[in-house]
Amino acid sequence: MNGDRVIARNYAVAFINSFIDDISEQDFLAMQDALAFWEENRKTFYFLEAPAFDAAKKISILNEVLEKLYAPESLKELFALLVRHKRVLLIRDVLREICALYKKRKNILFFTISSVHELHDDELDLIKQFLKNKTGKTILCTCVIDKSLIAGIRCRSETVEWEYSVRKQLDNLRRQLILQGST
Amino acid sequence: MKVKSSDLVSLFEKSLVGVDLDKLDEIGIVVQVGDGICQVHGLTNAVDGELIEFDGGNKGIILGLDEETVSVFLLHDSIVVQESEIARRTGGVFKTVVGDQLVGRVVNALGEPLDGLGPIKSDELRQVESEVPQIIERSPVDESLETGITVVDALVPIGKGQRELIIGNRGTGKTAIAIDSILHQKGKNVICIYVSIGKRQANVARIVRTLEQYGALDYTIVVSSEASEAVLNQYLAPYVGCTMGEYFRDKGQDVLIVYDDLSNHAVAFREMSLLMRRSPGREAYPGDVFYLHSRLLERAGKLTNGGSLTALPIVQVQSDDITAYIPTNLISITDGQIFLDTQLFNSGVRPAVNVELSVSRVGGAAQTKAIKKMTRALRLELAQYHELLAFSQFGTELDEVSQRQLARGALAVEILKQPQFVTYSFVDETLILFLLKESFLDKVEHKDLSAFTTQFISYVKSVYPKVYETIFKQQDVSDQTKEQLVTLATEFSKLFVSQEAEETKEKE
Repeated sequence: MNGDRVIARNYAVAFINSFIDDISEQDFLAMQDALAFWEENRKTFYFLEAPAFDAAKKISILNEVLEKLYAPESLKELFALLVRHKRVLLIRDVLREICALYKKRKNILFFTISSVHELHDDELDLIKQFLKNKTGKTILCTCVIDKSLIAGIRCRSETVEWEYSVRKQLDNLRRQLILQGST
Repeated sequence: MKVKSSDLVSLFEKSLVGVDLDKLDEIGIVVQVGDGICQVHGLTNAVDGELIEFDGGNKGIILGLDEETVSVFLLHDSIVVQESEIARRTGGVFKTVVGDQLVGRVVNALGEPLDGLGPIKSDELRQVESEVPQIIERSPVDESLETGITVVDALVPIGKGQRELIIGNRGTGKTAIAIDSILHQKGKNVICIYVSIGKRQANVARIVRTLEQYGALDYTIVVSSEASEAVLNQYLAPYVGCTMGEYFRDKGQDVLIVYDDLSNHAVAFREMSLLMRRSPGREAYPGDVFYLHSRLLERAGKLTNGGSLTALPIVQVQSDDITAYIPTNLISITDGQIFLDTQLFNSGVRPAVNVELSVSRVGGAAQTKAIKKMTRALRLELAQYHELLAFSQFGTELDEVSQRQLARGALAVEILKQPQFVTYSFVDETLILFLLKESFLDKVEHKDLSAFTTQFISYVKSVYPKVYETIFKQQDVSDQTKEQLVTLATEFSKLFVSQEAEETKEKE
């Protein structure tokens, strides 16, 4: 683990130790969204690192983003602290560590459920129950539409995947045919 | 391969029915890629050495487990692995194809053909990292494996199941000894495997051509991992070759495997270790570089089922320094070494075997009795010769005994010279060494030695085939045979006409 990650982890551990009971599942999902936003928009941190802006301006920009993502107040405080400590570039790593620690402490597995059409609540509950039975963990999920599956669904977390889709079967078939062709 | 569309539909239906709906695949996400290695987050229950499949079609092997990520080395350079790509556990380890179909083929470290002779149809796959045979399964090394090289068979004999290191500077004939040993196995029911590690393509092509030219490819497998290939392939190649050899050994056959060379293998492993950020030790090699080679060479041996795996690892040294890290490791692992000397090589002694630094720890027990009888005093004679040679360089006047020893030594050195691609059977070697031992060569001029010995062998073979056959069958020279040989040699000495005399005759 390199130096920056160690520092990021220390901030995250301190944050989780202080606020874990105040963070709801909704807050966690909001933090996940914030993480996804900054994974996609990494460049924003370089602007925030620029010395041309003062700390107050940077904090207000960050707060604005977090408010739009419905992130908890405690996270705003942490980000303000990071800005004051001149560790803006660590924000993404800290947030990632917070999400990982929260999931670990609360025994949560976060799934992205991909399907060809929008899933109803009862269907989603069924899937969640199935995944809970399989993993023994609290299941949180987000749904996305993925037409490339052709038919069926795919549930993917960081460590496990369950997929029953036409695309997967076609992929398997393609591999089998390639294997047969090469022997 | 052509597949009908109706077949495809039925295959698809089958695959839909056969899905295990209860199974959760364990996956990980690639977080870093570069230099043939990638870090994968996830894969919580993955084990060391496990084969990993990437969604993009590449595969890799886990060689490092960290707290949050695993280090996966990639098998294919050509297939791109991207950041955030999904990596899946396969639950199995890396396996290679084995079987009779591999004989005569040139394959890469993944067992894929490189010779353009079509796919290898083999039903059996074996793990490349398998357990070494246990003590109870092993039998002592007591059967000779002829190399056809007189100096080796006489002074550093190799037994079936032995591990004999070939060590020397660059360009001293290490590969030549190994290739000659392979060529000599023709018709001896020995399967040969040549593993090329980190060599140039042109070198491998030349070796393959040589093997083909001398008809040795019919019983040889060439496993090649070129210098330009992924570092993992260079790391895997010797294990893959060994696994292929074990298939034949387990069937009760004799196998000779050449690892050319393990210095490159160690360098590949060092590269991998440094990429995995393992702490470097002596010469920047990781701490377990000894285990890397010991676990490979321990797989050689003779088994009670009759099969054997003889290993000839090659290692390159710098400036004839055999005290470097990897050479000393290998010397301590193997059952002896053949040291090739640059000075000897440059002075025209080929094979340039340094007799004083070369040793065979177990081969003596396996040496053919006939050769053993003929070489009892040879090592001592050569040692005395080299000692006196150094002494004589100071211009000291030597007594008659010393001069005789010098002359005998020079004769021995001359007789042990052998051109490349020319190998002798043990009977031929016995006859040559007999001539030396019984002083029949003392009066022959050095330039005529080769002609004298070659003609003597032909003379015995053609005029007295029974004597030749007796030595071959008994693998020994009895007192009676010895007497016969003395008579024959005396007879031949009278008949032999030196090259000079022949030329003078022609002129007249």
